[in-house]
Amino acid sequence: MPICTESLNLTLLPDMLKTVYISTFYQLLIFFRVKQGVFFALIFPVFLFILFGKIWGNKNPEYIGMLLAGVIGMTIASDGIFAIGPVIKSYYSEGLIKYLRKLPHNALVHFVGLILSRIIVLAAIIPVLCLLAFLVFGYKVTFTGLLNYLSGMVFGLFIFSFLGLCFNFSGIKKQIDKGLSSLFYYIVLFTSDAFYPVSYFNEFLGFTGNLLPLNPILSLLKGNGFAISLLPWGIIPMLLFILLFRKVKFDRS
Amino acid sequence: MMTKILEADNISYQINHKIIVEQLSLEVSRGERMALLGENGSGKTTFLNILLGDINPSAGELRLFGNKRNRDFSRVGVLYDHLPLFPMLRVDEAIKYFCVMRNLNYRHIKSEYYERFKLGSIGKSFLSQLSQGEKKRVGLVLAIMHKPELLIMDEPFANLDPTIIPAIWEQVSKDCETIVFTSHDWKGVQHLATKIAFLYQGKFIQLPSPPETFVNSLPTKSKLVLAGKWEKADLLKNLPYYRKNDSLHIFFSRETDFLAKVSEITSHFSVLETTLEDAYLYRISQLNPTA
Repeated sequence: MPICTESLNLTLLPDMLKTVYISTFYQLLIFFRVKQGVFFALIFPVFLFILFGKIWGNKNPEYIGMLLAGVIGMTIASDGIFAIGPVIKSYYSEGLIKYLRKLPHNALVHFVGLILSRIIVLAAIIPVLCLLAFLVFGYKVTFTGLLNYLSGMVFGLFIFSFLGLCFNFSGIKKQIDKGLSSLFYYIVLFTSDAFYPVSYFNEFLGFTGNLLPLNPILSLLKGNGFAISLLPWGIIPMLLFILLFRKVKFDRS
Repeated sequence: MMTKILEADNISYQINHKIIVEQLSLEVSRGERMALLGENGSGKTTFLNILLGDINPSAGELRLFGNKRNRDFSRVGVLYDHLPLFPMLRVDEAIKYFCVMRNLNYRHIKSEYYERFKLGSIGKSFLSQLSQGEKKRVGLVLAIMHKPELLIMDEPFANLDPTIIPAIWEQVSKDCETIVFTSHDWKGVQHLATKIAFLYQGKFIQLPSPPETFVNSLPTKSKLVLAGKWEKADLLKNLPYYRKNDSLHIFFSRETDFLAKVSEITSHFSVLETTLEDAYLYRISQLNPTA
């Protein structure tokens, strides 16, 4: 890993920042050690982007722009649903949170570290994809386009993380969460305009996709503005998670 | 007067109408080492979880460092019966992580604990690859490295190599003045704890007291262990005993001719000194005379 805790003088940082930094650092380290996570967060999007771009985008530069936003949107959705919720759930179900709660800083610091590490990974994949778009397809991303991607990333990660947390905490005692999360993810992905404009082929699927959160996020990523349908997705999962979180009790061990 | 570190008043906990612990009260003063002993399912771990604020009691009150509400766990060291730490971190990294969280110098911690706790050879191993005993050693270091005022441990010696327990305990008791722990190592506890509480079916069956009080409360200092069903035998008349699995544990005085009488009937017996475990099991037999 290029980042090294010992090379930085942590004593200069205020306590809270120091803990957030170290938590983020170790979460990144853990992320890079889980090969599946690295594949789905870094390699798979690149692979899909080049594959779909080569099939449909060679003579259609507009499609490359749409595909780029689509692949970024897909990565945000999968990271939010699968990389944050299940990890935080495992902190609870495996009793790790009990340990973290006994440390001087609020246990939320560790969650912040986890979320920051995912933001860093996503923020890293966006320039990689933009560079590939230019090198492979000659598609140039403007500075405004980059800002759109970053704002879409923030909103998207927020929404999909809370959705992932809801799925995971609703089935914390039963092992149904993974199936539900996957089902939701694939419905969202295949009804969205991530790889092709679904409504051109099937109006019903297109309508469904517009009700789900990925299409409004794609709209943000493409710079088409904030869709009002994003609002309930931003509020309801968060409130639902707060409710579910309050109901969670530790098992007697 | 000794400072009270931990106070529990009439703590009860029930789940789905099943009582897990009932009206448990104890006080732990600075410098005390309190062991919670009892059979599996007696409520030891649940009670520890309540003391640690991981489970809310159904009734009763807790005070940590005299504080009822804002319980400051940063002054407490904790060792759970398993180590659920980030499995994809290496031992060194996990310890560094906790050092930063606790504002400690990792190099200092390494030089102080690694050799005694035999962590040098496993420093580069992932936590997920460790054996139960290795995990326990890592957990112990994480629990004591900030020299907590109170150390709460669930089964600290389970899975540990018996040869290193004395060295580990020496370090633990040097770093932490006040300790509350559960254990199944009855023999070891007798020497390590200054006070013992017996838990049975979620209740204290005797007030927490020094270990010798329990052993001295037994009818005699010797017992005879006899295999088989001898309860109705004449030679047992008026002798206190309890049954454990297939054997009878009979308390007798060496000054009597009891041993000679038994020898005439059978040679399948053994004579032992009474222990803390006898005190517990005998007390339970008194509570359940028909069992």
